[in-house]
Amino acid sequence: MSVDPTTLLAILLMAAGTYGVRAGGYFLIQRLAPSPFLEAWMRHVPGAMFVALVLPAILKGGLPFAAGAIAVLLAARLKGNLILSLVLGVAAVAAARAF
Amino acid sequence: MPEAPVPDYPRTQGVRFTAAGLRAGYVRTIPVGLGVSLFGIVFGLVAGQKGLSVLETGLMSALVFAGASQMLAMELWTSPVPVLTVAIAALVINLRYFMMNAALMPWLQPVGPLRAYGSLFFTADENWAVSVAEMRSGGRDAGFLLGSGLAIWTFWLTATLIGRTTGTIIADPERVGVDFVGTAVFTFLLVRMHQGKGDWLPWTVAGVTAVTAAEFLPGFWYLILGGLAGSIAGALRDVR
Repeated sequence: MSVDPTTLLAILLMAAGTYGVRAGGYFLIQRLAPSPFLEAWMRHVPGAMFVALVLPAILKGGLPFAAGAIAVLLAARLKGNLILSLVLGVAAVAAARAF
Repeated sequence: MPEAPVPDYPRTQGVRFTAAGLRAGYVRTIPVGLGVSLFGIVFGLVAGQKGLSVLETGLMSALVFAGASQMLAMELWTSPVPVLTVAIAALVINLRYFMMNAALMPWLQPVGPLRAYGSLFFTADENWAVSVAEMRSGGRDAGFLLGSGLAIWTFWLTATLIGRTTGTIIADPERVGVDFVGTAVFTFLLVRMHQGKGDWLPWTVAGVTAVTAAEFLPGFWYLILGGLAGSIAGALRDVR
């Protein structure tokens, strides 16, 4: 149960940088004059980010991830339940890998 | 042709910050928190192998609270610790939060700087996703963001400590498919977020940019570039 000073310094610098980017975007956008463009941009960030998160991951994960994504997509569309969708998605990935 | 703004997109009017919202955010994020825990256990194990003490592992998870950058730091971790390298690597990997958290302004601005900057500390990918979905579906209680952040934070911290102290691991996470949990969460939220034909242009631009960037650029640049390109394309179309 000890803390090495160099390790602590590394942790604190990592923490400061990470909080800096977490707070920085909000700090900046708050100071910009509100505009229709800015509002439209904010509205589109979530969807665009999710696509950017999901698509390369599925391509990298190959056939099992594609099967999992289809399972999640169908479950989300038909049932709209997160846990059910997760369970079905994970099961589809496991099944695709088993074959 | 300008597209009508999404009607239920929250305006800054009527945004609250309540304990009930905080609780709702926490509870709603528990399933995702369980998924994050698996990753947390793995991080704890790796941290132990790299010689971090239990206290150091806990401090990193509590203060940095960003799984991908912590994992990368462990990959770069040598003796002596390359302090600047791991700090800069964390900054670059986490640049995506700069853009993501800017999009939380409709919730953050009305509740004052203390709550806003406090909530931002607890913003990770997973709870950002759950919260932004709640915001887009018309949620007006900004306490939800802090609650969901605290959920991920407690699960992440607990799981890394479990991984660090017990040194046990789920037999083979890949075989049982749990490495898909993160992607599954985002896929689910994406499907639920779809609001109509207007989404296809920004989403296609985001997808093509991200896949191309992932092919040619290291790290997380694909997230930043894909998210930026898609959202700007959508905004240009709407406002022109």
